[in-house]
Amino acid sequence: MSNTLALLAVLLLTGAMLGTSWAVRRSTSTTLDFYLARRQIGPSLNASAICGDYFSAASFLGVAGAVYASGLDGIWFATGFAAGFLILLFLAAPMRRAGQFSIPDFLANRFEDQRVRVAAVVIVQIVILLYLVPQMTASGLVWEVFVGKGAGGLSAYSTGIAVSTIAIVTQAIVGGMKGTTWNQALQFGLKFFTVILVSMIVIGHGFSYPGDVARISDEPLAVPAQLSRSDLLAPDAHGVTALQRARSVMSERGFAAVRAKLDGGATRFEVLLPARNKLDPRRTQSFAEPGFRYTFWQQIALIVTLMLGTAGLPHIVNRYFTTTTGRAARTATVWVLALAGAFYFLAVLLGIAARAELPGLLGSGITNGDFIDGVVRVPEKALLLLAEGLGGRWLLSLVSAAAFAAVFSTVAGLLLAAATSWGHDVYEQFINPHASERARVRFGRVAVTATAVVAAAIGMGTPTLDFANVPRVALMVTWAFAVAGSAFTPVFLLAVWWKRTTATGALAGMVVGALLAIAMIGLDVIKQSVDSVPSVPFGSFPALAAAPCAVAVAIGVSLAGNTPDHVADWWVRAHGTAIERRHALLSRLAARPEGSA
Amino acid sequence: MGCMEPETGSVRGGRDRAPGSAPAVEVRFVSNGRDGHDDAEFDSIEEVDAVARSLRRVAFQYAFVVVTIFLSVPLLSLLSPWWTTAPIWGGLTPNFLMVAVGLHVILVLAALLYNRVASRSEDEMLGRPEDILEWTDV
Repeated sequence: MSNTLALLAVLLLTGAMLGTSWAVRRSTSTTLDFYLARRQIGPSLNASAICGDYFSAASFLGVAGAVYASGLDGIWFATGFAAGFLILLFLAAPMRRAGQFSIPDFLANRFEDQRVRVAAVVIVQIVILLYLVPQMTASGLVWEVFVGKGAGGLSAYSTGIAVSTIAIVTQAIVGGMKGTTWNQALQFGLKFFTVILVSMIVIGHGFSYPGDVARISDEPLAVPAQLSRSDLLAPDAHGVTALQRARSVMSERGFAAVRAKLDGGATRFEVLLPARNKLDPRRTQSFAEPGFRYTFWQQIALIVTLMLGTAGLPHIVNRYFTTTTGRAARTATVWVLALAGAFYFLAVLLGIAARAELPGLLGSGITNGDFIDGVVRVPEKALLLLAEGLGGRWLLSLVSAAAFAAVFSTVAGLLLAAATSWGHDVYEQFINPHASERARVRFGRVAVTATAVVAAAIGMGTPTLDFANVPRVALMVTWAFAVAGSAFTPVFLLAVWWKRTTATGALAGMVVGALLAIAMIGLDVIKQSVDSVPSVPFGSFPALAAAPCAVAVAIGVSLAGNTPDHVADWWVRAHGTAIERRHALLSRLAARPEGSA
Repeated sequence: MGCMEPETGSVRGGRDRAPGSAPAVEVRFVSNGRDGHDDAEFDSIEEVDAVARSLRRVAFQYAFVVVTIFLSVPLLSLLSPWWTTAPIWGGLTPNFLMVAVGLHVILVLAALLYNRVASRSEDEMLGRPEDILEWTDV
């Protein structure tokens, strides 16, 4: 579908973003400016920017999509995403007071070891790529939905990625961290306004949170599936075929279409099946009950992975280095938790509303490019389709712009985090330590561009991945959480709160956590297409196993080594408040009227 | 090496001075620590150790309580059918309400409390900026 209005909304958003960056273009002359906005971001602005940075496509489209597709199990995404900030609350002040540029810089200074820096740079880049690619995927999906046309020989999906990449790279290299901060804050405002507005319209349309949850939970949760003829007709252990199970949840019209295809000799079928309850297979799986997506241990693994992962995400941690003081960093985290609670409450509401309202808005039994018998094929599109159904092109335009804002704000943060790591931790430390400020900033801009190009190229290749009805944006983002939560968060906690941690211990913990997480994710992905591969206990959420291993290894290796003798200075800087007291004192003195006693 | 931040320095005063005596105030500009050769005089290591231990204990207590509450939600769904099936408001079960709303409220409350406790501990255990201000006025 072509939507000039939506295109106009995105162009306006892009123009505002570039204009904001242009307005602060002079604040990028040094690396401290370019990477950290001179550490002058106050708590409220930083909280808004963190929300803009964090509420990515996975939060904006992915959470609503996950709730739409999975019911209660999908809500855990929202809760887990928010919960991670509690761990950051415990780390924020010491990490900011330590006064570094990036995660590798923070760890290298804490442990006075360049091996730690190099390992951290590698893991940071892996996490950023894992996070960037689904954002690119989301930008392609959104473009596909509301424009539906490509340009320059590219598909609509690839065009969305290309347009986003160009816009974000331009914004980031022109405005640096200051421009990115203001853009992220403004884009968060747009996202928040949008979910509030759509929620109000949904409620005005007659949606009742408790009432509609009751209504959609009265019938079995139906999930789309693509089956071969043999899979459709083969009886299971109880002698029931998929076709018979499909009959119990599909509409008359939808099931008649399947029967017609069956009689016509088709070999592939798109049907709805009643979801199986993993917690209690005897129970019918409803929308409001847990068990469709996760077993008990998978639920635990999801919660732990999202909690730990948030605290290790480079683009989020870097935002804490931009704030004025450690206390401001902590205060910003409280604000973030409050804003996240409100935002995710509404995102969940919209996912429920999509499940409840879309069949009525669009008519049941539709099977086309977007639906299988009235159920959305790609869950991330549920919010967009709901907006279009409720408010037509106007509302779709707003939601599309907000979805792009989600992509823009997160990708900009990721690119700057990647650039900080390449620029400050590789170029300035190892390649050209005597480079001028101008050369350093120039290198940062090149790093932003190069990282974006690589992520865009990978993003353009991902539509070939088949995740069936799994909400793939949210799922792919959890891989980044898994690696970050397994490699970084355990080491952060030990570095900040256990003085005895050694460089070798931290290095070993980081490497073990990262390798375990990557191996488990890799096995889980391969398992989807190769049956002979052993199943992984925690699926895509390996931090439950990998993070404790990282902690155990880091503690064991640290205890086996000598007590670090250089940590006192760092400890006093990270946990003391002398610098902040001095700042406060000087500010108060400066604020006094001249001549006063 | 690298750009210097004009923010480092130190203030001493407060706990380690004798009552009634003028607080020692020392302000120096030094490197920002990224080079690993700070020469600034910060809070004393004993003070900082004490506040770090105190905040670590509080942080772990808060984390333990919140994580226990979080993990009890799926545990209860295994142990009690009432938790996952009994609607208490429309179609909302206790499990649903807890995941969708309750846990967010708990997170915010825990964050507010921790922030208050941490700030108070730092104020009480580190430095006396108001003393320094008075001394400066003299």
